[in-house]
Amino acid sequence: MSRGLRFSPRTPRTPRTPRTTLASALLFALGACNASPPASPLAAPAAAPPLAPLLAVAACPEVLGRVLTFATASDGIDDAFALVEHCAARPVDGDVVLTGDAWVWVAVDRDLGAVRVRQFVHASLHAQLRLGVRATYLQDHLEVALAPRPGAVVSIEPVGALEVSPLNWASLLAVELAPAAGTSVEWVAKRRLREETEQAIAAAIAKPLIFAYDARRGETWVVGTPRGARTGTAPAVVPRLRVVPRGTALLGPYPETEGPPRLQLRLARGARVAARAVCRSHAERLLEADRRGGVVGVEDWTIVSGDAPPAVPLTLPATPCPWMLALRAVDDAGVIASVDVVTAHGDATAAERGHRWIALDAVSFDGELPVDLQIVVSTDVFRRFVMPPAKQSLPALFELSGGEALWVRAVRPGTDATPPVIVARARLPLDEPQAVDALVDLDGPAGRLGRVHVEARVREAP
Amino acid sequence: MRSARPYLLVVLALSGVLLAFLPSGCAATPRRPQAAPEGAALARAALDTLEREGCARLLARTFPLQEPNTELSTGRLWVRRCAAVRSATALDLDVDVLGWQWSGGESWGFEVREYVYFSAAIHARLSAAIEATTDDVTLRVWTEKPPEVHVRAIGRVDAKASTPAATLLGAASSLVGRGPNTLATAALRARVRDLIADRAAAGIPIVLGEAPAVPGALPKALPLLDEKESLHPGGALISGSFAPGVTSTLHWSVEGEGTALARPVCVDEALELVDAVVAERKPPPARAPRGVVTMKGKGMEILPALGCRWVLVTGPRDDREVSVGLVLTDHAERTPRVAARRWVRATLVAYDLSDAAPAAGGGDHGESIAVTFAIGPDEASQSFGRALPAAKSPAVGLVAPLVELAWGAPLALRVLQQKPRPPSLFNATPGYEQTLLASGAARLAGGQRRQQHTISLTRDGRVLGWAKIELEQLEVE
Repeated sequence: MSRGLRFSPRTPRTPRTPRTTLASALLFALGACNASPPASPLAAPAAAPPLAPLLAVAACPEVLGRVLTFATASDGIDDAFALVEHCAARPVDGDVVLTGDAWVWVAVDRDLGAVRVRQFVHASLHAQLRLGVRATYLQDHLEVALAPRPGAVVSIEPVGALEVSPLNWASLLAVELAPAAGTSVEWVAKRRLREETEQAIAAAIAKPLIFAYDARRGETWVVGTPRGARTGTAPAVVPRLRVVPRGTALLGPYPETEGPPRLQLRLARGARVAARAVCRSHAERLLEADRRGGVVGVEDWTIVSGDAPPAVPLTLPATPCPWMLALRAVDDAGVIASVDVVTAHGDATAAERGHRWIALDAVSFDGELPVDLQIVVSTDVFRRFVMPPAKQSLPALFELSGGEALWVRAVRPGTDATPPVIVARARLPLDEPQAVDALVDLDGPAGRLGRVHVEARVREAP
Repeated sequence: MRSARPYLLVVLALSGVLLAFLPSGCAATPRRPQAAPEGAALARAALDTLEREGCARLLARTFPLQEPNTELSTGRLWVRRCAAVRSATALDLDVDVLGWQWSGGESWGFEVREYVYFSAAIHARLSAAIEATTDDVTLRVWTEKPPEVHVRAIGRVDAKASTPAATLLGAASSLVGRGPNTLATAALRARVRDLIADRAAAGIPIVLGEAPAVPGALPKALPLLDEKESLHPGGALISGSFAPGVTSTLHWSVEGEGTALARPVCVDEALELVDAVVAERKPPPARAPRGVVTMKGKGMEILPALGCRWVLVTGPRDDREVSVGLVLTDHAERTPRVAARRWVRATLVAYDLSDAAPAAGGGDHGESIAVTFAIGPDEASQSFGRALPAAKSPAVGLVAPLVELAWGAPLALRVLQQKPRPPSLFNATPGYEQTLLASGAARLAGGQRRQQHTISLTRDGRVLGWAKIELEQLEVE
């Protein structure tokens, strides 16, 4: 099925706590303050409409650093994600001029000319637009109308890996011949995606939008959407996410829980997905790795299978931080997952504990290793060989979030037909900010394989 | 997901609202705003927000009490109860606060040299308006009627007459059962009540902040605490509260030869002590203090993260008054005494290599070339990311893996042009041939956790373009 990218912004999923709603926008605006009495009590300020300056103050904190979810089609399945990295707003003649950069990733399952793309496509978005603004108070809530002015600037930069499959013999030939023309199919596909996406986003942001904000309940919604889509309360509709390879579907953040995070996942029978509760810094690293086109392993994730409908209750390992639910595809076909998270009370923006930067200076193995095994140290986004030593690439720096660990594993490599098998693993003690010089036993089912000597420097992340 | 601190900012805002009714030393602003229709809508939303969030924020922190006409903090207010109810056009606010302040003056004719403790019950009806000038946006909060203020001194103020008249007054009063301590206590009560009433009537404008002047500018980091304290024997100042799990750095500058102490304490532990004072009962037995920082001269100390919401308690070490400037930041400024190396995380923000791209077929993005970037020490830069099929981009946002640099060594950035290699009989996987297109370097500033650089990219002395990078660094020994 071929369908174009259409961005229809829905009420952001992440703002399930009051702070992440437009209510918080006003609070954020209030927050960016300091008590500053005017020098002269009688010096009345020049009369100016307050809305544009207020929105210029409030708009960016509302979206900055948050993961927003969207449905690009009318089926209501969230398949597009955005993380706003930079944002600036200023009032101009009663309007607001917004300039921003965002990381976006979209689950794409479509044909691009003669090739097929089925994966998360990652891109950077740069946009500048001017909005006419108007506010009214209706019954119990404030409504803010945004009317985009002509002349919006939109720029897209595709990043990450793009795997394309030829759909016919002609496209297979094109794949083969593209290098001779000084290009590659990946680049051609990216350029085409860029063109389409720029046009789609420019069209989407040219449409007027009215936000409603019920400050007493801390709810925000787009006027015209059902009340169930309001934020700040339990959503009436359980979100459905499209999860495809080469990317992470993210929901949250949710407040830190005393026990393990709990949720329910609903998948089609036979479908599988990998799930993990991650701290925000961990979610960032997953996203950064995908944007680099790197490999993300799911050895430490919980694999959920849709063999037990109607829903799979799931308890994930706890994190010492507000957490995000991360879902990754296990199979090439991807899945659609309905997710119902049991949220705790608390502050979803609280600081994260235990985030570390680590210099792994040396790792060595002392023992008799069967010839068919390799030894690696790895997290989901960091991986280095220990054995064979010729493949070592140390020292190396990497990050760990609170509750995350570096594991040393003895692995039997897979073939085209069989996946790799982990025959032994041990956790390396890199939890405290200090110099580490430790010996760790690596025990397998048949006894001790040997000992691993690790030297590292651990520091709290800045 | 860079961590801003909206929570802190929110607290500051709502602190401002409360401080409008407390003796904070702010100037009076008697102007009453006239709300325009749009302004009225925003004002109603502001009151709604204050009703929902105000008390929760107020209850989470202490407020400084300053000496009149100075910026020297000598006391604290702690909101112990708060209720807010919205009416049609106003917000009814009921607040109970506990306060304590060093009184070392000769006010009211009596010399009082001790911490005086009081509680105050305040009922006020707040109006609000949001206003804009050419420079800023302001939330103005005021009361139409003076608030009802009931002040209760906790214990008695221990006063000594400092003038003959006061001596006479004290002696005479004691004859009728109103000794100098009673008079001083009553005077304190009146002083607090008058200050609250004055501030409430005057109202207060709160500047709501301003948009970053430069698009993409790095956010300005606000300290958790930045004040000058006057610490006296027999009492302590409590600052906060602060979120759990935050590793922070305390900077101090102690005047003269004095020595002060600081200690992070879980808020529940501090509340036990404070509530015991309010109830005029014996404080709970002190636990063995841990994490006490001794402050002398100028210095800094990293405060390890606590697993609880916490406050910073400060006081003099001995029986002498100490003045100390304190700045508490919410990150560990682990600048070693002799930094030998840096750990750096770089983000490629934007680049333009239009001068390196063939003119034909450039398009909007200059699509005639494809490039990757490599970053790191000069001799060992690492490439990151897939080929970018454009000669320029205003927003890339690619984060490189962490690299280690020797102190003083430049951070090298190389641009590698990618050309696809046709698959062969021996290798069916398409590969790329890469050649160095241009390079540049950045010299990192010390002591700055985050910094931004625009690097000129050259080849054979010819400038081919530029790249903008953001850096986050950790200085290590």
